[in-house]
Amino acid sequence: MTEMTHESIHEEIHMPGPSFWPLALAFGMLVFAAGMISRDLRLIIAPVGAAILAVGIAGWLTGNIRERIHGPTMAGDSKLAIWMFLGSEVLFFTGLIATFLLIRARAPADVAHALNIPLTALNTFVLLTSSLTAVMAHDSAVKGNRSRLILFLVLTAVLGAVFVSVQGFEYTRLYAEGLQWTSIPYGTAFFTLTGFHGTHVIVGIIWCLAVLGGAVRGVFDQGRYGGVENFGLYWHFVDIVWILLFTLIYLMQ
Amino acid sequence: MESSHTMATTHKPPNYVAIFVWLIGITAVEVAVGYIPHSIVPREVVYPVLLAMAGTKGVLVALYYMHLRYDSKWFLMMMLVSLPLGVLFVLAMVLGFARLAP
Repeated sequence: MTEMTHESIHEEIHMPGPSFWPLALAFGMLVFAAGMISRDLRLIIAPVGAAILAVGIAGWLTGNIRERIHGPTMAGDSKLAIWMFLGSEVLFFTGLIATFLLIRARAPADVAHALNIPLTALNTFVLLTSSLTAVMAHDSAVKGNRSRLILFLVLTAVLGAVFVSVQGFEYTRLYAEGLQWTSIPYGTAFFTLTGFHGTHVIVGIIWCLAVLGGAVRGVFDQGRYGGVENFGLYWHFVDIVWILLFTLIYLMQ
Repeated sequence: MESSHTMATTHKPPNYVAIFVWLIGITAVEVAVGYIPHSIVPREVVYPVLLAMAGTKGVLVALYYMHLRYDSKWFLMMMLVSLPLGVLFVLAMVLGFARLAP
């Protein structure tokens, strides 16, 4: 590890240039949220907001990646930023978990017949496997093995997609059984909690594909693999959240 | 070069597959325990065991897959600050509202 002097720190620290993509992303979030709470225009406004949000994310990500590849080397510390973000996510999910537990205690529902433990256990296995492939991708990046890095990133994205698909199937089954988002308080709590987790997985898949794109272009090597590691930290966190949710929702009914 | 990303490489990487096997094994035991009828073993015994197993899996992932065991302690601090706050919030919500009439 290079020892950094006071002068070298000032030479190496580089702030990203001004960009309007964060504003576009924030506006997209606003429109999406407005659409979701609108009763009559939800199906029109929410997709528009989601599209603006997606464009904002893509634009910001692309610009950031381009800057990191072609700009001056940044001294860090994106990893600390990721950990700070994960710390905030802990509080986000504990809020949702607390609400779920409270509603389950005070407005219980007879869902034992509806919740499919074997299927969800299998899904848990899928997500745990994706955590393994994610850490193997990081290990490959550290060792400078580009083909293995690409392989494990592809596997991680595929397993993540399988997880989300099985969750989606589970949702359709629960809806058919009568457990719906707005039917009973338990349904609202259940779908909000697991839905937010599923959304985090979808975001993780998109992130994985973005990192995969970088890996294919040869962005990462033995000295530059922070992007892979940061993605891995997020993915493992999402996995830890599911470990807890599976236990709380399915095994501790 | 991002200095913090080199810290995780100055140690021998753990056996990720072995950790994975442990995670799967604990999950299998968890599912089995979850199926134990409450008439045989009360939930006051089963639920803490389930939470302990889930916690163990989370710690394994955090320590070895997220490299918290080998990385700067500042990253661990992020979790050590937010986790107790989160747990406190859950307990306060559940226990606090448990006193109220339905």
